[in-house]
Amino acid sequence: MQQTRPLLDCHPELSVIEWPSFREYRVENWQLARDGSGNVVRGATSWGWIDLCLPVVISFIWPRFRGSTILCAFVVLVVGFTMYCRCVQVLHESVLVFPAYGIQLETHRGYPLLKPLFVSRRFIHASLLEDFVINEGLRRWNVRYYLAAVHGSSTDKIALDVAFENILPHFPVLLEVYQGVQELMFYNHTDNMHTPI
Amino acid sequence: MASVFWPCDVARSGFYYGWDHPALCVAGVLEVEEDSHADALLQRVARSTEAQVLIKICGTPRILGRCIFSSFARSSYPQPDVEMFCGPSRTCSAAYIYYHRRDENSLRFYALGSNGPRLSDLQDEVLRSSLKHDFLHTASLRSVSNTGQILVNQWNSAKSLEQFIEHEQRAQATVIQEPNARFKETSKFTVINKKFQCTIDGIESSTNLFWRVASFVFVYSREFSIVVQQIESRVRKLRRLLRGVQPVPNGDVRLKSSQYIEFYNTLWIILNDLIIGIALRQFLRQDRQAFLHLFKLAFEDKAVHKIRQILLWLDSWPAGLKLNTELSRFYSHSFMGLIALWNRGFQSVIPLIPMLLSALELGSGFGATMALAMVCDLVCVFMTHVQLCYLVSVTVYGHLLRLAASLWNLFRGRRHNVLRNRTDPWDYDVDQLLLGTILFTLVAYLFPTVLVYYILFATMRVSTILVYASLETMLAFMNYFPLFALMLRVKDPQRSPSDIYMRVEPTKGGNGVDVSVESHPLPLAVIFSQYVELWKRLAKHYHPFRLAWHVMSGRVLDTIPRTYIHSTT
Repeated sequence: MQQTRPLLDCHPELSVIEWPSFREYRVENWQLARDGSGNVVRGATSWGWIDLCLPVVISFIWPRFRGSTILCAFVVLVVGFTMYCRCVQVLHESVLVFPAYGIQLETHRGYPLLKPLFVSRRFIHASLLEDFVINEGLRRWNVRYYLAAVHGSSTDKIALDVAFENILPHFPVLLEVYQGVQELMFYNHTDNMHTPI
Repeated sequence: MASVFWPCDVARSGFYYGWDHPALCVAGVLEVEEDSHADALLQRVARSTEAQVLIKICGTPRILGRCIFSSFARSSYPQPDVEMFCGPSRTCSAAYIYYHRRDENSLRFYALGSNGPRLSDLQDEVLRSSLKHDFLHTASLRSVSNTGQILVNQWNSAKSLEQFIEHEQRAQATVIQEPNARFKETSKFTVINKKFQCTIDGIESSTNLFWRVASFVFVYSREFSIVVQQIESRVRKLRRLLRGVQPVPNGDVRLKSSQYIEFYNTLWIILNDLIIGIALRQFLRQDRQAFLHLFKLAFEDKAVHKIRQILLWLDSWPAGLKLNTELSRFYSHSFMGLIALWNRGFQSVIPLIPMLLSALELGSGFGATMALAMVCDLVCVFMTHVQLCYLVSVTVYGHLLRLAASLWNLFRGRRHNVLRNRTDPWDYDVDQLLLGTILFTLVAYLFPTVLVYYILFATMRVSTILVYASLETMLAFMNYFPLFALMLRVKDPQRSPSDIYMRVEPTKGGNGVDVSVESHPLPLAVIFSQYVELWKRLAKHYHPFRLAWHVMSGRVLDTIPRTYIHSTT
C-alpha cells in the first residue's frame, strides 16, 4: 500500500494509492484557496455558525409552540433534516482501477470527522468500457471539464457515467486520473499501442 | 501482478482448479495427492453431459496449480500460498479478489447489469458517432465481447462444478438425481394444461353454431365489459401458473430465478386478491341494507332528479343569459324525455337491485379485482343516460363548430383545400356568399344555446370518465403489483441482482485491504418499470389538457381502449 500525492503544490486533494490488485485515485472534498494564499477551503464542514444559531432560535420560539403538536413535529423535522444534511456530505470520491477487469466509481458520504457512512459504487467491467474521456461542458459562460466513462450496457445502448460527479475537480487532477486509467486499462504493453483489452 | 478470483469459502490445501480465460478464476480445491489424479478427475467430469452445459457458458476448467493454507493466518478471507502451473511458476502470494460461490438451488447469483441507460436514443447516437470518429480509439465497439458475462457465469457455476466433481469422486454410477417429488406433480399439471389447451382449440375451430355465437359474443363483449376482460386475464394468469410449474434445465440460474419469481408473484397476487375479496364480501354482507338505501338515494336523487332540475334551470334564462327560447325548449324537453325514458327503465329494474348486490358479493368472493371490475361496469351501465345525452349534444356541437369554421372561411373568401390540407383563397359566387352569410349568422346566434347544453353534458361526461379512469387504474395496479419481487428485495437482495461492484474493506490485521465482489439489488425503478409504463399510458390518455382540448373541439371523449393498456402486460 503506497500513497502519493502527485500534484502536491496546486492540488494536494488528489492522492494515488497503490494496492496489490488495484489502483485508487482519491479526490477529497477540500481544495486550496484559488488566490494562492494556501488556505484550505473545505467542501464538507463538521460544524458551521448556523449550527449554533439553530438552538438559539429554537429556544426563543419554543415557549410559543410548546402546546401544539404539529409545530413541535415541524421543529423536530427541521432539526432532523439539518442533521441529515450534515451526515450526507461528500467526504471523498475515488476511481478504482482494476487492470484488465474494470473500473469502479465510488462516492463516500458521511460526517466529516467519522468514517464514511454511505458509499455508492458503480463498477464498469472492462468488456463494457468503451472509453474513458475528459469532456468539455459548457455551463452559462464557463467551460468546465469532467471525466466520463463511456460504456455500453446489456441493452446495447451507450451511456456516460461521470467520475468525481459531486466534487468536479479541476483540469490538472482530471488529466492525472485520465492518463493513469488510459495507461492501465487501454495500453497494451506488448504491442506498445492503445487497444481495447 | 494479475489478480486471482478466489472463492470466499474455500480454505483447504490441495490442487486448485478453475478457468484461466478470461481471467484466473478459481472454482474449488481438490484434496488429492498427485496432480495427475486431479487432472484425470477433471477430464472425466468435463466429459459428462451435465457439465457440457456448464462448459458451454463458462469454458473448460483446468487444474491451475497447488495451494497451501498456513494454519496460523486467520482472517475473515482465506489467504492461500499458491504455486501456479501455468505461466512463470512462482510461490509468491498473488492478489486475491474474493467472490461468493452460490448453490444453484439457492437461486442467488451475480448479474452483470441490465442497468438501463438514463440517456435517450439521440444521445446514444451522438456517443456512438463520437466514438467512431475518435482516431485514437481503435478496433470495433467493445460491447461485442462478452468476457464480463463469461466471468459472471463462471462465478455462478463454480459451486455446481464442485458438486459435479464431488459426485465423480465418490464414483457414483447414477447421474445427478432429478428434482425429486416435484416431477410427479408437474406431470399432473402438464396434463391439466394440455387438456385445457385442447378444449380452447376445439372451441375456436368448431363449426358448431352455439360455440361460434358464444365466441363471437365473448370477443365482442371484451371491448365493452371490464368484467369479461378481468375474467380473461385471470384465466390467462392461471394457465401461466400451470405451465410454470415445470422445472428448467440446469445451467441458467438467471432464467430459473426469473421464472420462479414470476410464478410466485402471480400466485401471491391471486391469493392476496382472494383474501381481500372475501373480506370485502363480509363487509358488504353485513351492511346490506345501508348499501341498498345509499345506492337508491345516491342514484335516483343525484343522477336523475338533479339533471332534470338543471335542465329546467337552463331552459329559463340561466344566470341571466338569454338563450334562444324555441331551441332551448326543444333541447331541454328532448333530453328530459330521454332521461325520463331511462328512469322508467330504471324503476322497473329497482326490485332487482338486491340481486345485483348479491352478484357483487359473489364477485368479490372471486377476488377484490372482480368486485372492482363489476363496480366499473355498473358505473358504465348506470350512467348510460348521461352517455346518450352526451353523444347527442357532442354531435350537434361538433357539427355546429365545423359548420361555423367552414362558413367563417367563406366569410373571409377562402376555402379549405382537401388535397393540400390548407386554406386557399377562392372566389365565391354572390348567391353562395349570401347564403353562406345568412347561415353563418344563424349559426352564430344559435351557438350559445347549444354550447350551454353541451357544457353541462361534457362536464358530466368528464367526471364520469375520471371516476371510471381511477377505477381502471386501481384495477390495473391491483392486477400487476410486483409484490413478490419487492419482498424478495427486502428479504434476500442477492436473489435479484442488478449489478456487481467490488467492495474494498480494510483487513482485520490493519494494513491491506480485502476486495470482494458483491451485487447491488435491483433498483425500485426497474421493479416498478411495468407500472411506470402503465402509468405513462394512462396519464397520456387521460391528460387534463388532452381532455380539455377534446371538449373544446367537440370530439367524443372515450375511455382508454383495451389493447392500449394490455399490450404491455
